[in-house]
Amino acid sequence: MNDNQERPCELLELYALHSLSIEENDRFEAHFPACERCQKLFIEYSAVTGLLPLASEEVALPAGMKQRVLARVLGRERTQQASPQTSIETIEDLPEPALLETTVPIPRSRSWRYVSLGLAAAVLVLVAYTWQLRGDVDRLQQQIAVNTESRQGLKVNEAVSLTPAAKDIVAKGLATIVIDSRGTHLVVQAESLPELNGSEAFQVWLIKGKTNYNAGTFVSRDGNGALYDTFEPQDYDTVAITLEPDAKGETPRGQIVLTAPIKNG
Amino acid sequence: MNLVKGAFGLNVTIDDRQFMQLIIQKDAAAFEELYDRYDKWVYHFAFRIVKDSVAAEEIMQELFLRIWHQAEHFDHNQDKLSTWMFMITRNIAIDHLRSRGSRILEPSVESDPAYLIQDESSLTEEILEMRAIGEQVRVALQELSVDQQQVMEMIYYQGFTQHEVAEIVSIPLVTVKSRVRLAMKQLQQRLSHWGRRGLAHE
Repeated sequence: MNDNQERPCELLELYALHSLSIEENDRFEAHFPACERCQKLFIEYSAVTGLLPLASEEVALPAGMKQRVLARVLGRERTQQASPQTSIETIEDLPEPALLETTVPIPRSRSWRYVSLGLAAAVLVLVAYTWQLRGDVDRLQQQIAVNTESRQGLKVNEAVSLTPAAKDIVAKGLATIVIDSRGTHLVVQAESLPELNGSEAFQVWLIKGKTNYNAGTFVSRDGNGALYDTFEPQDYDTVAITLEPDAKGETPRGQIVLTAPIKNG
Repeated sequence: MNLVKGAFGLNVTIDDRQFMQLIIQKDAAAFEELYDRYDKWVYHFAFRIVKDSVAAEEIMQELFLRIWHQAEHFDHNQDKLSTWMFMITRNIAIDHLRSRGSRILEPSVESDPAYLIQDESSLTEEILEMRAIGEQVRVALQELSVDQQQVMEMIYYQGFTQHEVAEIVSIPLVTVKSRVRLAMKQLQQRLSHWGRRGLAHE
């Protein structure tokens, strides 16, 4: 097939799909103003192209993404007013130096750094939130001792360290579970994860006996990864990260990389 | 049409064209309103391409950075705002795929219950309508032949050139063109009743 002999009209559909090379694009645009047929069809095909993105399956938006995007674009003072429905703040707002030890090491990639900081901030805030809630729980327990009323809608679980499932794995991580009036939330953070190949991905599971709940999928960067999920509490006793052949598994298929027992999931 | 507390200091009803004018003037309230209006659709599309929530959020960051800093590049006479945003989203996402060096050739990810939106109470009439359009587009895509679906997936969602598709699938270039042409023609016939609607706020 001699591509140089193709008629410019043959490029119309790919032009409408924004899928021509620069050279092909230039060639078509040189032809376009003089071709009424292409102009007419282009309007119709462009309408199709404009609809194709809407065919995308719906997925839940990452928690706190709006704040992170607005923080990046507008600056953090702007975002402190925004999105009152979430409590995730920027990393600078956390005064506890000891907490900073739990952040994901900043990778080399600049863009990943921002995402990583955002995810780390989410983890840190939830950990800080846990601590704050612990204080609340202590105070509530004192009140319980006085008036015997039980606390309701507020339950806190500790952060548990994820440990390697095999001797040759150097990864480590932290899983934090927080329960508030809006539900039960899991934050998983891991580092020094094995390198992914092809379509491989890490999946996080909450396990109770033979029941496996898929808490989500993430892909690591420079060995670091994190995940946030809200789930229905089912007294899960184990949290595990597995290395999967792809992101589609509904049950664990790959090797467990990190795992930890959870007491009050 | 939405109400925005904008630079005017009042609640005003504005459309996409006015949105962009306000954003050119660095009106942060208008920008946030724009984000709320389009975030779902853009994120779903980005995730559809990269199949990775971290990368999809990176794409959102880059998209809205470009909108904030390059809003004057939007030509209302040439594109709908949603079309313009989707086009930028796709460019960023495909650049990401190329830099990652691996493009997944499966048609699409299966719906994962852990990811699906659970909060039905937040559904607006507009969201329901967009879902209905999306469902019809999905059906129209599924009605294409398997061969046509494959080239549309590779070219539109994965960003391969027609030459790359011919090489990967081991078919003549003329066959790639033919499949794309027939696919676009069939999609246009199935979806023509939606016209240039899409996410219309004009």
